[in-house]
Amino acid sequence: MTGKNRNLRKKEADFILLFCTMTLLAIGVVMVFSASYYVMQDRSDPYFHLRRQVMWAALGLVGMLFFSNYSYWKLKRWTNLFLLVSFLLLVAVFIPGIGVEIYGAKRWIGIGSLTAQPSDMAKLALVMFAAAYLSQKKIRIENFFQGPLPVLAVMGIFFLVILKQPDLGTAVVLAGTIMIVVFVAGMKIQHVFGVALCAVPLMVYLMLSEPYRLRRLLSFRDPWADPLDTGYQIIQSLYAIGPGGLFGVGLGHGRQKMYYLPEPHSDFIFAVIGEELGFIGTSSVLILFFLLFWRGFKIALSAPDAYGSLLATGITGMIGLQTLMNIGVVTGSIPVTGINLPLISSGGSSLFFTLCSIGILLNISKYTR
Amino acid sequence: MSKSLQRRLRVFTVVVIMIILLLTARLAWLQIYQYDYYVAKAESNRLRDIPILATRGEIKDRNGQVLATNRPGYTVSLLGLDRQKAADVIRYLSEILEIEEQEIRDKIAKQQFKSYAPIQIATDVSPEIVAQLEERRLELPGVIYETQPVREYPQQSVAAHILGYVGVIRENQYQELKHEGYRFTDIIGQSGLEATFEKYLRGQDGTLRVETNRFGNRVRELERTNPIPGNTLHLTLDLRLQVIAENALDQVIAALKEEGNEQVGKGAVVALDPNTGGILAMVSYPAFNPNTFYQDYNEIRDNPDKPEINKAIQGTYPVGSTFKLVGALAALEEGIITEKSRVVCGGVKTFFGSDRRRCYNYTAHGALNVVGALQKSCNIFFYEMGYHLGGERLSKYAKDFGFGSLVGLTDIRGEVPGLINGPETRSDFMPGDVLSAAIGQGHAITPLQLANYGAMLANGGIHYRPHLVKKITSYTGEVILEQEPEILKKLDYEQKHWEIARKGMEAVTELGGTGSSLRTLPVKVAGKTGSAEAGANKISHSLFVGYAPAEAPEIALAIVVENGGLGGDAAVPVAKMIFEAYYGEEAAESNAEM
Repeated sequence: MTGKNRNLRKKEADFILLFCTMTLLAIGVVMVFSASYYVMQDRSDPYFHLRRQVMWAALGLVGMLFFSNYSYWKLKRWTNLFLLVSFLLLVAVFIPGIGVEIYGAKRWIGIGSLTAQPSDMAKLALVMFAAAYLSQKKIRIENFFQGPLPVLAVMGIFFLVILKQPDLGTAVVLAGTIMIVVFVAGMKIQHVFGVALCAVPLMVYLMLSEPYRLRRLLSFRDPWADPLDTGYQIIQSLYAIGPGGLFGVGLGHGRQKMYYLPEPHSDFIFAVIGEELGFIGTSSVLILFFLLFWRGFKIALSAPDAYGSLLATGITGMIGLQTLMNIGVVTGSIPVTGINLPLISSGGSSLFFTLCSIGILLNISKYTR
Repeated sequence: MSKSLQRRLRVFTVVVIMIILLLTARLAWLQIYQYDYYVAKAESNRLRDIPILATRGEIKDRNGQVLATNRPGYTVSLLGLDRQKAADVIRYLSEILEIEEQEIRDKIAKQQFKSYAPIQIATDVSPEIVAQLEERRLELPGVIYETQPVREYPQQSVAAHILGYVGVIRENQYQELKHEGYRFTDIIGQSGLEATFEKYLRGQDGTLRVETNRFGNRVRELERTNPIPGNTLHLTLDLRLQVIAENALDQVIAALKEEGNEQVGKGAVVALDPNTGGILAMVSYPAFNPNTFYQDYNEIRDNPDKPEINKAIQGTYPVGSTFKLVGALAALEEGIITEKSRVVCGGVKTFFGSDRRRCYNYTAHGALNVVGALQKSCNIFFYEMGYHLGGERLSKYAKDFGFGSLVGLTDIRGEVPGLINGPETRSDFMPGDVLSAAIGQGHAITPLQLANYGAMLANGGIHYRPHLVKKITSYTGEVILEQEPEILKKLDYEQKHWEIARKGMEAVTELGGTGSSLRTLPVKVAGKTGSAEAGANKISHSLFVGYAPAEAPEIALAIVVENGGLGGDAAVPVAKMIFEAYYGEEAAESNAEM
């Protein structure tokens, strides 16, 4: 321990955060099973996703337990190594034999049936990097070239690699998360607008470079204009959520998961919750997430040092952005981007890294100024 | 910790809270406010109606004997075909069902747009094949077999031309009928009564509402609307008489062939109830088996005797001497002769100065009145009548009896009007042609027209609409339609002239008549034989028209045996066998009852 940290008051880890995490995780396990068993039944193993989710949750909880007891400032020394490894893995998805292509996208690496998305790890690595870099005393955040630019540049490289997979959703979450960290770290408002202005032509280019992106954007406006193609996912999602009503059709009784919903156990699991548990279920999940973010920002506010604050901000922002984007997509509020719901979706490595991040948050919560 | 950091974190917290509130509002909108809308939308997205085929109505003869019914048959279909296994499944099915793979693929392609409903691959599959499919069930995922009603004609080829046959709806029929709820896999009546009474026989398909997943795989069955079976047709046809007539024609033709007649092989019999116009029997020879019409199609098509044509209503013949009653009644009505008038037949006579005509074999009949002339079928007598009547008057009387126009059978399609050999219909008709016309040559007359003529002679000039369907009842027995005898025309000839004509016809079947072999029957038969010129090097057509019992007619009968020879060679033996069997059996039955 450094001299500075010896003065810190140590307390119990944030209980509400832990409670929300565990509850959402439990809801996730149940819903993954409910959402997947019908389809998996046809493939002769109805418990496939249940087993997988329990395994990853258990692995994630071990990670969470570890990081909640691993003093967060010690993470600084691993940051650069972690960043390098995640970058290499991210590039490795393009190497045949290591990378795994699913639905034409190269987002996964794996051996046999075990696959992981390096971008999950990269998000956390970048948050750690940004927090570590920006919390250095010598860095003057007001100076664009000294403060935000190096972080944004590193982020930009990662962004482009992830975009190449292609995985627009994760790339947007990554960029958004880092922007939150840089913004909270004190980036000047003029600079924020400047960066935003530069992002506009990039976004336009992205929309036009892949025709399906533009179609998705347009079909979001009116999904019924093209119900069988691009509008399909939104329509089926709304057909799940709407008929859920106030109380839902009952756990396990949903029908939209019977091949209507795409990815009912991952990206569209919130629609299954909406159908089976109704508005009561969806609003409860929203409240749990809200409590989780609230505790996250609270931890950031009361962290003993700038590093802890920025790290907590980044982690909370990352989970928050992903959550709100996912629910936005599923409720037809924003255009479709493939993003899963943290803690609930069947997500493998995503779930693991989310739980590890919450472990870090819990560790930060143990220290107050 | 800087102030700015705290402030900016608070900004974020507020932004997040607002977004969460917006999402909550959105969810409330979708799940509470628009709940009903989405329930309805999602239901229609998921619920499908699968038809349950209605059983086709039965067809029964006048005594309730079943002529057309249904039996359960297996239909092999595909439901929820796994794309990855499709190729294997199609190959196995092709082997077992002995259908080309391409044919199966075509059927799938044609039907798969509604994947919640089974795709029919083969209908009426034998239990043996179903057993084979059952054995290889694991290799055939998605293959199902259901029982569906299959049309069956228990009497096989009996009355085939009347009943017709059923078959899969053709493309043009589908285009025409789809708005009536027909599907392109439906079986519909393609000919005969099956076709004309399609809408009565069809019934109403039921539906099975099923819940499906996205690929249309059935998840569970919801409500079921039972099909309503089709209506039953009760015919005027007498199965017993029909069978007797078919057998008689068959036996006589077979016997003629045996005797060395190489041209014989086609024929028709029509039996009408002269008091109603109800068709009691209608035979067209040769026939086909409606149970296997499509399997036998090539054979039927290539048969030179054209089994698919209903010769009773579509075959036209010069009816020869059977026509002579027209000349007799015309001459009586026109006052050219009375019953007592005699014409001397020397075997040969010259008309119009140079037209030398003769009786058969130059037979000189001597002095004959009209009854005698009919009995002997004397040509000279009727040449004389024709000579005095002239073509126009003769044609008028021929028309009176329904020749040259449709007799009005609408219960089955295809009746042809035929043609009268007269000045109205032939621009090259010369005055001398009336001679041939008077003895029945040159006309084109259907066996049904001939039978109707027989019936009009029997009932004194009433032209009833010939019909096959007496009554239609629903499957619960409720009467839906009843056909009363319909009089199309009534001739107001003098009663005594009818009696003279009938006397002549009765004389035909007495000793010395051309149909004298009919004198030994249990009932008195009245009739007229005929031999019609069939063309160069052709054996003449053998004809008979008549009715029985002579004193109170129940059956009017017309028989045509193409290239059968003289009337007495083929048609009379057929008539004899028919009356003998029909009245003989009846007598035997009533004796047994006593």
